[in-house]
Amino acid sequence: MVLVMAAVAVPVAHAQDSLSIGVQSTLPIFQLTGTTTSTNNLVVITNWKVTSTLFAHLSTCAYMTGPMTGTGNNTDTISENFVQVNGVSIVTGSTNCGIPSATPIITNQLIWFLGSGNSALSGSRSNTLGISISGYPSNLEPDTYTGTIYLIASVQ
Amino acid sequence: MKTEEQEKNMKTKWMMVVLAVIAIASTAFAAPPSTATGTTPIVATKAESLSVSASGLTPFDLGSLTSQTLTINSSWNLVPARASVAICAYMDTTTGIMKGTGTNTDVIDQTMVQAKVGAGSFANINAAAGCGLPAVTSVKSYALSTQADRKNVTKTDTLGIQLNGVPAALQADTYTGAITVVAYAQ
Repeated sequence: MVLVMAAVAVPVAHAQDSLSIGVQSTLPIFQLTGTTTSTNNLVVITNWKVTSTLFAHLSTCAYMTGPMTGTGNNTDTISENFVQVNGVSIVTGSTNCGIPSATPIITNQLIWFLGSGNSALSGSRSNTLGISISGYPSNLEPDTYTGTIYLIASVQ
Repeated sequence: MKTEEQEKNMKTKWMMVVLAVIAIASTAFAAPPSTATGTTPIVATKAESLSVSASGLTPFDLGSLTSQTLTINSSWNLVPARASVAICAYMDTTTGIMKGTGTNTDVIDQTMVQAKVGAGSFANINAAAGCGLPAVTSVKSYALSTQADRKNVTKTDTLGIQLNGVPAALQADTYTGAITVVAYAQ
């Protein structure tokens, strides 16, 4: 009977949990004129609502899984190593958010039932990342190069 | 007075309540892992470039005309969508014709300037349409099928130039005009 009571309680609470991560607006197009672009801000919005626990830890990260590629038969690429977050390569070389080489944005932020604002069990947070591209080859073929920045948020 | 049976039932109920609280509390403190993901594009562009210049002509001696060679240097760095680059030359019928000095009204116009491509024959420099213009000499067309054809390319082409049909009664003077060279990517 005890086990039945516990089993009923858990799914009801979990159904109300929510977690999302996204951006306020997409980045403008970077102009490749030298070997370093200007810096553009990427505002990352994280929303969470946790009802199934009294406390948890929130982490968010950004990462890329491949280079920026051109069009047609252009074989030139811009390695993800050249994409920078706040002046440092997005490829960190260390595992964050469970992702190898991800850049940490929020690291194990405590959220709990007595918390308020960013530390409450229900909240939202925005983080501004300065994105630039630096160190790419100067002899890239003229083209439009496209890549993807992945965002991940985890509560545990 | 509670009977022994009633006390036993009461203990059992309390034990069940305590166990239930412990079970619920344990689930409340154990945060279930939750993950959310998102993506955003990152886009960068590099502008293309295309340039052309010409050199090599010296003043023609109108008393003893000979042909000369115009050297056309072009360079480009173009996007993959480009399919070709054409090189052309022409004399603008308004701004290009060769004019004298002072009050001299004589001119050497575009009909008296001829061009020759390679081993071909001399023909009027404004012979036919090309490079998106109505009347030019088409010097060369380069197909851009590979990245090597488009990226950081420098080319040198030559064009024979001569004056032909210049009126013998032309006033003695120095006549100056302009040949326009064009590099046209599409």
